[in-house]
Amino acid sequence: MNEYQKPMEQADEVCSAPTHELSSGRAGSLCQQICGELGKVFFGQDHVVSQVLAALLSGGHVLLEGKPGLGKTHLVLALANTFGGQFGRIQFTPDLMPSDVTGFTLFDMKSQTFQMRRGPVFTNLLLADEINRAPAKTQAALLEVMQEQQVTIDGESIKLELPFMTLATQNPIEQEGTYPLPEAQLDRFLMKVVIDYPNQESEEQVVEQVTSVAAAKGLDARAVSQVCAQQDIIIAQQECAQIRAVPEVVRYAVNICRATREAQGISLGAGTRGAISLIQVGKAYALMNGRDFVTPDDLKSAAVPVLRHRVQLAPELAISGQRVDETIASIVNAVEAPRM
Amino acid sequence: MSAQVEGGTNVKLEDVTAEVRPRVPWESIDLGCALARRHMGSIMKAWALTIFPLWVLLAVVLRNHPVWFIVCTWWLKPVYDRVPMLIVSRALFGEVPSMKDVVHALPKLLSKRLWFALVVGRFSPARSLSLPVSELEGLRGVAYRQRVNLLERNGGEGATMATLVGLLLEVAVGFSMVLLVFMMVPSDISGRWWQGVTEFFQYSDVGELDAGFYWAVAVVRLLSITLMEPFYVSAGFALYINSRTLTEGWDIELAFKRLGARLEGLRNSKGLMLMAMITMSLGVMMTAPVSYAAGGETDARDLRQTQIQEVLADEDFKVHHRLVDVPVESSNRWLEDLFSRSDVSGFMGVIGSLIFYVVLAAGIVGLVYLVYRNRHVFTSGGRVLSLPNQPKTREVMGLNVSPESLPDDVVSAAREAWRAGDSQLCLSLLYRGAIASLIHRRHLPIEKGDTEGDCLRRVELMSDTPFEAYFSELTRVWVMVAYGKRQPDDGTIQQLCENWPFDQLSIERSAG
Repeated sequence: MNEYQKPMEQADEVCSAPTHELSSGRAGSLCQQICGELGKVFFGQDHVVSQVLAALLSGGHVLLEGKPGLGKTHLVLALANTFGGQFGRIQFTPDLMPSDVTGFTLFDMKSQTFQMRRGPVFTNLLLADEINRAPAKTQAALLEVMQEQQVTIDGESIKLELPFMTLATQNPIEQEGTYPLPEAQLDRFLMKVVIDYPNQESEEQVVEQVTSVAAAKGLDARAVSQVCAQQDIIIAQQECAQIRAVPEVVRYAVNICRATREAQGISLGAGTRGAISLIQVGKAYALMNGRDFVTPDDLKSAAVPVLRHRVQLAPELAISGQRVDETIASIVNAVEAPRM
Repeated sequence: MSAQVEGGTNVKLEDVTAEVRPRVPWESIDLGCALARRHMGSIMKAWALTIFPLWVLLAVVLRNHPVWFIVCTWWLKPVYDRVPMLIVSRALFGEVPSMKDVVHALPKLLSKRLWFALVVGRFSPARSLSLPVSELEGLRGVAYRQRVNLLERNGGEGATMATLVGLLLEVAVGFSMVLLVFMMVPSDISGRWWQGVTEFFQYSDVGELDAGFYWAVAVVRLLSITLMEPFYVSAGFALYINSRTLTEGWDIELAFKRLGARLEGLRNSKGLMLMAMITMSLGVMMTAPVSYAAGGETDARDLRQTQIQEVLADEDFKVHHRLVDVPVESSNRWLEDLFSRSDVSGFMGVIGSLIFYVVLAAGIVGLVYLVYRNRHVFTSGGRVLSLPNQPKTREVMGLNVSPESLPDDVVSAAREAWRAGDSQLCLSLLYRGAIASLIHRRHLPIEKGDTEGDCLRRVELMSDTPFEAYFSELTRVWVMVAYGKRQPDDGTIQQLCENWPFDQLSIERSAG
């Protein structure tokens, strides 16, 4: 965090007459508490924590990528515990049916009525493990739920309990027996978060913590303290949506996405939804930093996780060993910052 | 019979350690490379004894001018060539010179016809072939020119190709050594080096290069010269030997010498001696009337000469020349028609020569232009501290940060804007003034795409800067005003104006 990104309380010392009624400072403090709690059980991955939290505040969904054993489930469970939310998990398999995800009605012989059995999507945080293992219609059922935030079972629409966020993982190793998500479906995810191996120090800390307790349960995500209620998260989401983004900043977001479409070596660039997502995540970053306005730096920080799954490299660039993250970073650096 | 080779002295052809026979140029070059390989130990010892000290001396004299050192060591290549030439030329005739001989010959090697070798002969494409003429035969002036012309008829094109290939191989060896070192060092160091190499080819960044870079280039150059030059010289010497073999019939001379030696052996045996005597007696009997009639040995020789002259004067021994036009079927009939009234071959030859000279002139002009354009490299020993004409960023985040766009007194103008109630203009002036000052005075590399956070990070990365705290505060307030649309209080503005740490930009503007 730069000097000028100090929390709002400090900013108010030099800037009189606040023009808004949001409690951005309180929301920022709440985010810091959540990050602090997650940091107790999820070491050396601060950027992952802030990205996932930004997605939660923006009301978006996350595509998680990382090698097995890096704590993806652990992170989602711990995050749910920080606001007392429910956690659900679906292991996607080739024989998984849409009704296994959303739910179904069952005729109860005893009461001679149809009983509704709600699927695992009726939760606050849903971990969809290896989403590309399920066939397209099952994937579509989940993606529809993510988009609409409601489930339709036998013609009856049921609203999901908020906050609702899906964190989906993909099997990055095997190709056979998988159904890769089409680009249009990938676009529905707000951001793609990459979990890499932690550094030496953090890894040593993880091993030490886990093995310090019997049965190697030293890092129990359920041990995370609850810092707020579900309602607080919903309010924070509403506050996040009201964060101000001046037209120049919005233009900057659009310019970045347009640049990905016009850049050489890119076969598929980010669409309008990419620019929308950039602003949404930029707002979340602003809220997390205690500000009530978005700066170009917020967008620049959000660019790589928001755009990396929306951009596809041309084969010649991919063969040369260029990575999507590097390409996006260079495109963003080449885009002129906002004109004020 | 003996041949004149080294220093105008005669050497014995029968002592030659290689097979003397007519060869095509590439075979000769191959022979030269084999010679260099065989005597590489002696060549390298002599090289270390003579050339390395010369380089060390040059490095000491030009220690502050690495670029000139590179140019000088390249220019002096004809001087280095004399060392392998001394070894190879003597070794071919069975006498490998000792290091004592090399040291003894050193003053002569380093001084003999230096002006000619470094000025007139330096750019000869067949330098390797003409080198033995000047160095070993000691010819000068017209005699040298005629001799070189004669030898170049049988191997001149081979020597030119050897020069071109040698040049390419020298570059390849240099690059190979650099790549080898790049592979051996850690990737972060090699990354920095690679960046340095890239910057060298970008005029705008050449000023950042350290003198160490040029010294590294010089070392690579010297190593590649050390590896390649002995082969180049030996190849040229082999072409020279081949040309002389073709011109002077060294192989025939050698064959006769061997025949003579064999007959000498036969004469020494008693039985054969008798046969020889009978043969000789018969010969004497046949020639006796003439010889005796002449009355002496001298008269007999004169008579033989006269007879030879008579025989040679016969029509059968006269050399006739006849030019025959051979019709060639060509699809380019229109071209032939075009030149039907002229001597086409001569015309095309003139065109070819013209193209050659045009290309040569273009090459020289291009070289001079490159040297002129990068003259700053030569004037400061390869290190340029500042480039006065280097274009600097004039716009950051859409703000015009060129000195011309700002008032002379930024602080006064900002105060005035604040009093007029335009807080955004006030902060914009201060922020633009600060950025302009950092770019033009402190040479901060700010790009067009840099955001406020990027600018702040760049300032933080600057060492020993007194502006960091002020710029951080200014950025914070500017961001609040620009993106948050919030009004700063009077105290904050007054504080920013009073603590303004940058100089006025008027001097920079008048200079720029």
